[in-house]
Amino acid sequence: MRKSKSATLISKQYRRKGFLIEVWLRLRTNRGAVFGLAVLALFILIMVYTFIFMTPADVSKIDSKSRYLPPSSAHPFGTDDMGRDLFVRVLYGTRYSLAIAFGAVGIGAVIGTFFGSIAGYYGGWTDQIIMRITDVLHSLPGILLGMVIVTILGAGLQTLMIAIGFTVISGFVRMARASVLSVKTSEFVESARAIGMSEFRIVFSQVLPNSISPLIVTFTARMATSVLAAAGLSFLGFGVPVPLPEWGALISAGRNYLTTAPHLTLFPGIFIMLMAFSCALLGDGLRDALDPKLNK
Amino acid sequence: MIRYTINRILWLIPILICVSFIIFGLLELAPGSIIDTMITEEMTTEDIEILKEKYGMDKPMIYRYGLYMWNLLHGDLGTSQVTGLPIFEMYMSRWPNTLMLSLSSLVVGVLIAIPLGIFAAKYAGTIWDNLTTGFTMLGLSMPAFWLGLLLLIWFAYRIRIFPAGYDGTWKCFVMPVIANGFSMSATITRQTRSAILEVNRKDYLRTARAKGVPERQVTRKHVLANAWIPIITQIGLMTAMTLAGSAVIEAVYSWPGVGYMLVDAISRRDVTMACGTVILTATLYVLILLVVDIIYAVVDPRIRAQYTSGKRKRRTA
Repeated sequence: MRKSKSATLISKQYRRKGFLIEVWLRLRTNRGAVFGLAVLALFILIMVYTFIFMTPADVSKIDSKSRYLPPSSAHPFGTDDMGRDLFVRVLYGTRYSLAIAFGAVGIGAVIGTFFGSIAGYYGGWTDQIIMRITDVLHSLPGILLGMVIVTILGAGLQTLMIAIGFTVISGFVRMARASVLSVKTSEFVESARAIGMSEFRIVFSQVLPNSISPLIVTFTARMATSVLAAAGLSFLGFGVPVPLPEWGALISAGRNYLTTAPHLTLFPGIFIMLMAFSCALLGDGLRDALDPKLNK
Repeated sequence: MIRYTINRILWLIPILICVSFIIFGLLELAPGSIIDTMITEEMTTEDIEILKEKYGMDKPMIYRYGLYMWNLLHGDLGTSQVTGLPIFEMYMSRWPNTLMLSLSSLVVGVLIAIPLGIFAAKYAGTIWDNLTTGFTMLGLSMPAFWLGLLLLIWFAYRIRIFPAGYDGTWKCFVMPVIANGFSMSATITRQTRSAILEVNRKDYLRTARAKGVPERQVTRKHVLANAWIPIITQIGLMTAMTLAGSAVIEAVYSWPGVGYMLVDAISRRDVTMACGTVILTATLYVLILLVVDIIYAVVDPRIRAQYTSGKRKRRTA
């Protein structure tokens, strides 16, 4: 029963490393994805920093002597119409965009995936009902739906998250349904049924983990578009209400001073762009890493 | 083909009913109805009842919805609560402005995107491809309204070559078209590139090349003929999305379109106006999606075949 040395080497080389590790090893070679991941990590660090070291009072500290200051070493991003430091405000605003990118898309993804996989697995009338509702949701233009929801529930972070979450549901339902359909006839599902696993458990312990790749890709792609959509809604006044420094709202506030203080428009926009950019890069990288066939 | 089209058009009716019902119902829930804004302190309960009757608020919601839809079918969406002007006429008079802006940005976007996408696919993996990818990523992640504001700062306030708002000349189109078209062209470029690369891997292309079809002809007849389908879908989707989502860019340039009208209506709490605008825009959105689906079937025989062969859809067992 002695293993030869070469056999051990081969088995080591071909040993399955686990899904996540394999994906990570492939992702690591993609410079764009690593950059995106690093920027996102940086944003999360900034958020943690502002949670620990900044109070709402710091963010809205009014200083009538230093209004409309251009960027300087004391105020890296300059100051606004009330003398508030824009740098502090932009950093503080990171939490809103992250809440949208992870929270809102997360809500939509969980709800959408749940119904999508049920529709795909059970088929029949369950499928019909879920998909027809999805069709209706899909026929409502996202930005209009967002505006209507915010109008009813009143402006605020939670409302904005619900609004954005709602607009991404239909995409996840379709995606989950399609990938469940593609794996539900495979042998391992049959064997799970043969050993007497309950239908519900089969869906969530066998089918879904094996159709997760497209969902991850959709998730990161949606993160980028949702950050932009949320910023757009806030810009129009349908987002996080004004005194809070959400990036879109900051741009909207800076809009009245385009000629006198263009930095008020410039900097929050750069942050929105960086956030969306890193999500998009990460999404692209994950798509390639999760589906190596596409690479060539 | 005709069967498919009829199928799709009939399917539109329940969708539109659901969509309008959802919007009507949701806005019904919005705080502050017409009556609330009119009630004054001197009014007795009877006065309020009379007021309610005048606006039909004494009837159940489903009745009002039915009436609303009936009027809608006759081109009547009621009048604005604030200005008193007829909503349907106002929408129709502003709609061309939105359409012009969306279509011109779309045309510019497509004219840039398709050659760029073909170019990137041709030089896939080289520095040119990477540069194009960088450009498209920038376009995808840049908020259109922010780009619009930056353009305003430069071209309307610093250099002063383009007007800051709508003035009816070609000049006022330049900035909104750039702001709007950049992200559109980025999306379409990406779609073009990946569609071509996808087709390029197919066996039938290897066959075509192996039997000696000249490269130029391979590109034109084999690659593009197949890559068209996802590109057209993407363009159609972008059309529907810009028409529906024009609010942001219209707000930047105070463009007299329907998107700005909606934002204005909501911020003034003009519920009837908001409701009418949203329903009309959603209807147009659905109609464009329908046209896209039909075009899709025209260019892709595989989709058509699903409907002509009698069986609606093949079931995966």
